[in-house]
Amino acid sequence: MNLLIDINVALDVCTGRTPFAEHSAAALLHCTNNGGRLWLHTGSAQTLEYSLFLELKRDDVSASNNQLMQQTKVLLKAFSANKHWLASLSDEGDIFDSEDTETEQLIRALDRFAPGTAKILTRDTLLCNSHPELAISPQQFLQSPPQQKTVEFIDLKAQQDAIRPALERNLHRVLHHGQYIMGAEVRELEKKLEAYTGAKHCITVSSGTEALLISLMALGIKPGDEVITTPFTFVATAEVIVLLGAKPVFVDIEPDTCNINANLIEAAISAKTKAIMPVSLYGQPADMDEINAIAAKYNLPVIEDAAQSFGAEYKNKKSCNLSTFGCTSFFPSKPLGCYGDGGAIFTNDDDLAQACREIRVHGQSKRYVHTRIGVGGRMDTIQCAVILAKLERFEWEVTQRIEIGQRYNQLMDEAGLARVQQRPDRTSVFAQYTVFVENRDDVQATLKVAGIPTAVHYPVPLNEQPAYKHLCDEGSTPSAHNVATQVMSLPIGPHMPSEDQQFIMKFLVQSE
Amino acid sequence: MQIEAIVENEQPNLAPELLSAAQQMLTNLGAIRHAPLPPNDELPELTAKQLHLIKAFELRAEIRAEQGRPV
Repeated sequence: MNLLIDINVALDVCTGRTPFAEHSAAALLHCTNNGGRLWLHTGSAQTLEYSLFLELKRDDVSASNNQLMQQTKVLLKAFSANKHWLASLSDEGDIFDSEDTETEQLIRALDRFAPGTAKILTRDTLLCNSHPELAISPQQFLQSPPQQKTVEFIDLKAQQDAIRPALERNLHRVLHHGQYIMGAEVRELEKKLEAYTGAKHCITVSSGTEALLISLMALGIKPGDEVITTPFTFVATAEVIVLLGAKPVFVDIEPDTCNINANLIEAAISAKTKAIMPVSLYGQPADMDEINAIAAKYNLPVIEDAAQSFGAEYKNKKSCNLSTFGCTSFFPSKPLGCYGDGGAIFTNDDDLAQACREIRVHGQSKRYVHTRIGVGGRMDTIQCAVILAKLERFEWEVTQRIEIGQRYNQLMDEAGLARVQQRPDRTSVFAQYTVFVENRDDVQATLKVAGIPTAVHYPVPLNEQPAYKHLCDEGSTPSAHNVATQVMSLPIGPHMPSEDQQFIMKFLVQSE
Repeated sequence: MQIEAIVENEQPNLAPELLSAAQQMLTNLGAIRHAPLPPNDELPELTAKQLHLIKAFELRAEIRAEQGRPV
């Protein structure tokens, strides 16, 4: 439940106003203890300030106005520190037909929440009686039953709480300048991502899939060519190869990391091989040194499908800057995700970067001059603005992800349960935290009842999918076949509290 | 201190740990209220605009009291 705190409840707590303060404070805690969020409306800030000042003045007639104003500000800073500010939107401006404009603003502010998920916490009986679906008193709220504990698979709301001021500022800037395609935020983001990865060029594109497709197009992959890749990945990896008329050649994986087995790649190279496309699965780069060495021997480019691994490192070098191309995805659930589709291509090759930039805009080298076949593959300015807001704290999130993943590792190992392994010379950003279970359906059902969501990445290798199985020999990737029956991903994210991990592990151990 | 009626008779039974945490929250904010006030001469004078707003919000409190609504 989201509670929008009315002025009177805030003043109860700030002033210790009897006999209301105890219930008002308890209601705030009851909300957050049950996973709810407390909001203060930015449109109410001045009313809150001056109303609190007057309450303090009533209680202490000996203090000067200057002193009380100072005390007011200190109190409000302390009170608001663990609350969320709910921005006042333009729809809350034209409220002058209302008898009570102050309340009308709060009612309209609730309109942006999903129905039934937010109420005004108030002692205003008139408001509670006239809008029982929108307002609730502290006493009423305290009588509501506690919610069953649930865990988010990926808690994007907690992340949004942390970035809301930067996010809203960035989004509103785009709304006001109106450069929705290739606005200044696009290049700003590309420069920041170049600096972050160390790659010479970053080309933002409309999705991770588009990043792979454009990279292959820049390399001139054509019908009849072969591209070596892994069958244990999201379908986009092979899909883009087939879209260009080329053939994916599936090489089996390492059963412990689930990444492509570099030792098997050379045997799969033929005269038709034109590229190698390893995937940094679950957030951990594959054996890039070995893969790059094989590629160099046969003069082949390497495209790292880094859709899940942005932020990871391989021998102290960033994923996305480990080979000819690095392609990542900004899908919302990714370690660095936008609020829609987005992606990026990284390369150190000037010519390939130029080709990608042209292909991204319909093969256009300058306005209405199409020098090559391209696609409409630009990333929206507004999505770049989202990433720019997230980038400010991305390093902290990566550190958190690694710590939380390692804590999971420790708990799994202590419980004697099987998990995906990480190699010591690289980091994983744990886009997924994936374990191996024999009785997956049963385990998932048990966890679901306990309020713990799980997912399977991926239940069927691509070379066993109906659209792809004619492209390879049956049974050619036994490790991929085996792990596909066992993998199960658990909730993870940079804001995950350790209690949630303990909670998950308790039920996982019970269900195994 | 303005007196306001308790509009609900039914008193929720609060868990002791919730009650204790609520009291801790009130104690923390009370500590700010009861801390020594800074010397008046070290503080900036309130501006005319601030003084005007104080009057305006006094009026808000009066109106709400007339309406039987909490401040």
